Amino acid sequence: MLEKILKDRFGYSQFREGQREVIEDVLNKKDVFAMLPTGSGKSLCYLLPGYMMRGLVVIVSPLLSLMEDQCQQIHMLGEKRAASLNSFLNAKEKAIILERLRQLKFLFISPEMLQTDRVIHKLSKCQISLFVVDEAHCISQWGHEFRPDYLKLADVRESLGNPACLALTATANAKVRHDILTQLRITGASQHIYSIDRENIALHVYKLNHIDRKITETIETVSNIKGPGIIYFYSREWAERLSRMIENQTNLRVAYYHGGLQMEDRLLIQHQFLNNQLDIICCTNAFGMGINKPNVRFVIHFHYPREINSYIQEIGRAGRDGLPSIAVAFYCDEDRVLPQALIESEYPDQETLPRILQRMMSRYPLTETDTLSLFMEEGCSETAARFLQYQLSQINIKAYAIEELGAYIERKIQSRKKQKLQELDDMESWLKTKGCRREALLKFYGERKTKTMAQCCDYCGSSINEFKKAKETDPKAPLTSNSWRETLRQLLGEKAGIR
Amino acid sequence: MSFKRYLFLYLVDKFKGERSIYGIYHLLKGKRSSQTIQDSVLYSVQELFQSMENITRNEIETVYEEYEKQGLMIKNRKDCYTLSEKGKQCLRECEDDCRLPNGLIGFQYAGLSKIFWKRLRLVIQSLSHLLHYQKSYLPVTNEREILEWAKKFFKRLEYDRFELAARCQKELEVLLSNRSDLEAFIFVKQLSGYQKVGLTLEQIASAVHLDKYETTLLFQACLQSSVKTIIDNRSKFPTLCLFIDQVDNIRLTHSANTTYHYIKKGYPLHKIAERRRLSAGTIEDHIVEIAMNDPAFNVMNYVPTEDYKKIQHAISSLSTKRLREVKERVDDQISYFQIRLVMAREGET
Ligand SMILES: [Zn+2]
Repeated sequence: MLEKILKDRFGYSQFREGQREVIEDVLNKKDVFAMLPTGSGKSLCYLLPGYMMRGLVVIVSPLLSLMEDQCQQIHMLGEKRAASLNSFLNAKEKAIILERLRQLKFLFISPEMLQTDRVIHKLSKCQISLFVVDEAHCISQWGHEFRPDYLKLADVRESLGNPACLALTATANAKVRHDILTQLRITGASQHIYSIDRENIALHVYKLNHIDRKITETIETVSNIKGPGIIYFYSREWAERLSRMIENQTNLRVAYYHGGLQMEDRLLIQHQFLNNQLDIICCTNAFGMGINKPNVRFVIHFHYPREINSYIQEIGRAGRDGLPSIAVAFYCDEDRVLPQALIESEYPDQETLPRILQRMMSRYPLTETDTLSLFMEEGCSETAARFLQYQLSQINIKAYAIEELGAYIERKIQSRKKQKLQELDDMESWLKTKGCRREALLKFYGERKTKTMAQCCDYCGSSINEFKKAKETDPKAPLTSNSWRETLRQLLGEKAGIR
Repeated sequence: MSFKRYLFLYLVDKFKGERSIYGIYHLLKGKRSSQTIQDSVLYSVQELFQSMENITRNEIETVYEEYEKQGLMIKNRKDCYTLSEKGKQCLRECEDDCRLPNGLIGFQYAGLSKIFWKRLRLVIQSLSHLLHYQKSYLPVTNEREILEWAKKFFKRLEYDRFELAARCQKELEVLLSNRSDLEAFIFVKQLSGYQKVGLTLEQIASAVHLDKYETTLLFQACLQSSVKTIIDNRSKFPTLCLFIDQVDNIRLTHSANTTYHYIKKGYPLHKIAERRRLSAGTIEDHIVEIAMNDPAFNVMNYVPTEDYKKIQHAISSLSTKRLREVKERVDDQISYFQIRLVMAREGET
């Protein structure tokens, strides 16, 4: 029965690890908490039950871009009854979606949209079959992407008549997991915890003593190992620079991708990569969210991320088809400077903080959105701004003198920074592991390595040579080879026109 | 020679040290403010208006910092530069190899062309998939307006997809044959279709060994002049015509547009200012913007014919385009606003 729907609707012949168990519990109307590794098809856990239950599946999703991607992927499966509701829509577009709620099967919604009475009112009139909290680690202060508006989700669910809840996450340690269950008030939920370990990805880490060595090593590695692959950098400039060098020194098809590109170019590059027109993407962490390419063979970290969580997410983009893949991290001692500076600069410093608070008080009372944009205008990152806004909303700010308020917020900032620096330390200490890298990585999540595998990590004897290209392939014909008339005909005419 | 150097020195030269490098930035980006639109006419660079929407402040700053260091330009006041002798020499040398592509039009067509292009890209992509019986694909744009437009476009269509594809192909081939093969190449290679994703301008630039600025301008020239060709020869391009319908030809800033509504209803300037709680100066800015954008707008309501002639005369006898100098040449009762209106009009010819 389940298999038939899986085959008919989604085109898969069997479930991946964990999916069936989660789906069965969901269908039995239990509250469910599921931690499934990245790239394991988490969304199937609510999509498939959606077809077997009457009513609407509401999916709370933290990131706008992710939401749009997920919604688009469902449309790609031929399901038109899916929509996403977020604050980027204009009033008319929102109204249209709210009017056709009853015709929808899947509604993606941002947490702040769930704070408005009108939306709650409309939703409460629908039959809701399942309330999904995606990226549930956002609910925890200890999670890497704390989103304060996630804290209100338990109340929201209650006002919707307590539909069954499915909380999904890819990476959460025991502390975060406990937080999720408490905050969502689903402590009795049926729990499905699967290992964060991706056994088909070999873990390699190399320390180099100079940045120039890192560049040559990277270029040599990508020339030798099997692609396609992704290389991560912490800045736009570095991504562009290495992309140019690879383009000039190899016959690989390469492009760069970062938040500074125009939206249209971003889409083109993504589509080229998905369509196998590119061998390598040089990118910042802006790339990858919501991109589902099964045959990525390697992920290289030219710069390491600021948290182990991000590292796991990023390497998890390799080997989604289950075939052997490799993650390589290169690092030098000087790499620490930038991430540390970034953490420092995310929050207002001791001199600007009083000024910002002053500005805020002079415009009191402010809405949440105005508070957020005020902090961001003063140079806070979005996550930092959300954090501060949340801290302020927890106290009666009118009861404090401005100096007291400053001191209070400053303490909160300090402890937040300390936590961030701790996460950076964890990342670095993992890179410096003397021993099995997989064992050490799993330890951060309270897991143990249970199997031995041939391609575990460089320490256990996995060799980059195992991932070599079969043979030097001929350079692929560039897309620019034929004339404009031919291209036009290929797009619109000739063969395409056969009925 | 480097096209980039040519372009940016050319612009400094055109602005005569009277406008800052941010004036150049706004021009290329196509900022729809009265100031930018007026400047583009005053300094005869209207064809470059909105020709590089993707340019960043940072890019402009870096370019000019470098030229200043190389002694190609001299700072004249904050952020304003004139070319040094060395810079002039350099520009002359560049001119041997580089020139602006012909076909660039500027603000009358840049906005319209942009919408035409977005619609065209999406329709071709979806058509190409339909021809292969593929209903779903990842669209080249996620702008809701464009997606909605395309949906309606296919619904309204009176013939089938094969017919539409054949027509589009034929008309595009005719249209692009008016331009050089290089321009047509840059145009077509950006298009996405079934199992074939288009290239970014930067990727095309590197394939044809030109710098990205030249590639961008060649593309804009091709696009803008093609849109003009379509509009001027509607009967020859019945299908491509559909891609420009329902776009307001006059693209005013939102606020200027509101002012225009009041003017059409017959409100005098000071009444509009009162109604809208804006200063008279702001409303004057709007009127100048309207004068520049809509040839049908009658400026004689604001400048009596006699005064118009006097201003016209003063402008043509002066080489500079500074308002103050013109003002000194004309009668006292003639206002800056009137001078700007005449300049807006005269700039067009
Ligand atoms: Zn190992």
